[in-house]
Parts: sequence; C-alpha cells; structure tokens
Amino acid sequence: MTPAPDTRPLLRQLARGPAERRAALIHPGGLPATHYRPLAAALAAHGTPYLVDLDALPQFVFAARHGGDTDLSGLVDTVTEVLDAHHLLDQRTTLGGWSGGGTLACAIATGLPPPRRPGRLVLLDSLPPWSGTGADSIEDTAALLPEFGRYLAARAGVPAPDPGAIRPAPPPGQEQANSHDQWLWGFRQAALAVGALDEGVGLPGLRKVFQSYRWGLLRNRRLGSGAAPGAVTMPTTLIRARDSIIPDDDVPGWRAVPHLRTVVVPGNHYTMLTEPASVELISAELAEDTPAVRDPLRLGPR
Amino acid sequence: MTAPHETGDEHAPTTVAPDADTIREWLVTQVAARTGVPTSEVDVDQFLDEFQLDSTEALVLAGELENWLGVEVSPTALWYHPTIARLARHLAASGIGNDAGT
Repeated sequence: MTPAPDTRPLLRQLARGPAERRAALIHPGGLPATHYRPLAAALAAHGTPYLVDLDALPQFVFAARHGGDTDLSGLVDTVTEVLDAHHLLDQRTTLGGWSGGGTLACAIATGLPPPRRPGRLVLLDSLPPWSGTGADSIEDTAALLPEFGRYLAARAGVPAPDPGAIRPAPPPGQEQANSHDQWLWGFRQAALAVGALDEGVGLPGLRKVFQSYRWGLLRNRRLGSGAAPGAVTMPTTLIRARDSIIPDDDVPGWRAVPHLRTVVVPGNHYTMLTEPASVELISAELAEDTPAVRDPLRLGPR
Repeated sequence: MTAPHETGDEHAPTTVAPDADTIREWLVTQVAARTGVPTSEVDVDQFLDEFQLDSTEALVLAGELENWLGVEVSPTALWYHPTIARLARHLAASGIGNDAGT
C-alpha cells in the first residue's frame, strides 16, 4: 500500500499549561482542528490541553469516503495506545471529545482498568456509544440538510441557512432531476444566500460534499460500539449545544449513565467550540478540579 | 475564491478518455480558479492540501472531476495520489479506474 501522504500526528499538545492537570480531547474531523484554539487558550491557564486528531488515521478518513463500512474496531485500541504513550491515562486527565470524539472517549474510558481511567469525562454534544443511531436517521436528504447547512456555515464562519429557506428546486436545464438533486440545488441557493457556500460550487461538487458528510455521520455513529452505560463509572458531563445535533430520543441513552450531569451551552453543534460564551462554559467543565458529583443527575432542560 | 462556473451539471463529461496531460491541465485550471492564483503558479507536484483548499473544497473538486470524467473517482484517490501530477497519472494509467492505492 502506498504510504499515506498525511503525516499529521495523532496526538498533539495544543498549548503550554501546568503539567499536573491535563485535558485530552478527541477530534473526529469535520471541522478543522483550528476550531479548538479558543478552547486551548482558555484551558492553558489550568492545565495542558491535548488533541487527538482522528483525521490522522487513514481508516478513520476512509470510513467517511466509503459509506461508513470501514472496520473501525481497532480505533479504541489505537487511541488508547497513543494516550498511554504520552502518559495521559490516569486520574489527572479529563478525557473528552466533541461529537463522535466524545462517543469514542466514552468507549475508551469504559474499557480501561480503574487505575488508568481518566478522572472525568466531558462529552461535547456526543451521542452515546450504545445509542444505536444508524443509517436510517440520516437517509432522508431533506431532513439532514438543515444540519448540513449548520456544518458548512460553521466552516465558513457565517450564520447558518434558514431551514425554512431550504426547498427543492430543479437545477438549470434539469427539470426532471431526482428528488435528491432538487433538494441539494434548493439547499445550494439557501447556502449561497448566507455565504455558507461559494458560487463556484456546482451540483457535482455539492453532491460529493454532502455524500461525504452523510457517510461521516454514519461512521461517527458507529464509534465505540459495544460500550455499555453502566461501565461509565467516572463523573461525566454531557455538554449539549442549545441547538444540539443529539436527537431527543437519544437522551435516554445518556440517562442510563451513573453520575452524569448535563450542561447546555450557547450555539449549535458546530459553533459551540468557538462561541465565546460556550468556550467559557466548556473550559470551566474541562478544567474542573474535583471529580465530585454535584447533582443526582438529571438531564437538564435544553 | 473565484467561481469557475455557476450552475449545475453544465460541465459535460469528456467524450474520450483523457490522457494524463489533459487531466493535469484540467486540474491546474480548477485549482487556479478556486484559489485565485494564475495557472502558471500552480505547482503540479505540490500536495493538494497545501493549496488554499480545505477538505470540503477538495471534495468539491473531486465531484467536479467526476462530472467531467463521467465516471466515479475513488473516494481515496486524492489520499493516495495527493498531487495534481500524481493524480493525473493515476487516473490516466488506470483508464480512469477506481482502485485507490493500486
């Protein structure tokens, strides 16, 4: 096999900070790793922040390009090994992740013996590993487009397209286009209006991006499968964006976790890493010293 | 970013399988248009991700390439053949094949 050209490290230190406390975040791609800069800056006052960038793993990247059918069974072991190699698996570490990164963090933590378990888990708008949310929920193009719009808008740094403005429209000269293409073309117009897409993106390119986005979601929902809620024994915080990607019917999946509390932060799934108010709340959770359980864990109102 | 085109599938697929030079020229034109640099400044041996193309833009480019070639390009072709020159050679040599890494 040709060596992969991408030589980015799987784990990197995001900023200098006190060595006695560490926050290790797992990044599942989707957004550039630069989105963690505000959080890293805030965390550095309390400890040393690290990022595990799953985009450095070919099998992870390929899973989003092949319909999510790549074998991801070794992912937990691979990430565990790199955390171990950097001596990050003990009580001094808060382990967390955004989106699918949190799902994987949960699966990793539950598979470790107690001495090597992180002191806390902080999961940023993540689905539980046992949620069972599969392909069905992302097959509907029309239903997925508003979230796709939020994704593109976060990347472009612009407001998300109004979901109400996303309506099917035939591409020029293709009045008989299939429903999928009509929805994509209508979406393109809504995205162009807010600057979430560039004028240069035509239907073929948009199809490719949307396909990869859909497959990436499917891949991320397979992360950490096999973990069980009862095995999450460390204090765990689920931080949900006010406009969360987590469907309401997945919330009971988290309810089964002992010692879980939830925090709601401003923004949506894709802006929560960069919105100042959200960053402040997330960094406070990640930097929290004592793994004390404060409330009997109710999932708070959104 | 400059718009190379503005509508749907108006890039008609090529009628004959293009050779490596033709594919390279098409890629140079696309990258130049999307990054706003002259075609003469597009280095065909530079990694594609070193241009000002993020992963989404690279996917857009892959989609437009598929549309032009009229066949699906392996989703991982850009990973295994990460420069314009290498990708063009790969696609031409494989008859616009789809097997990544081969």
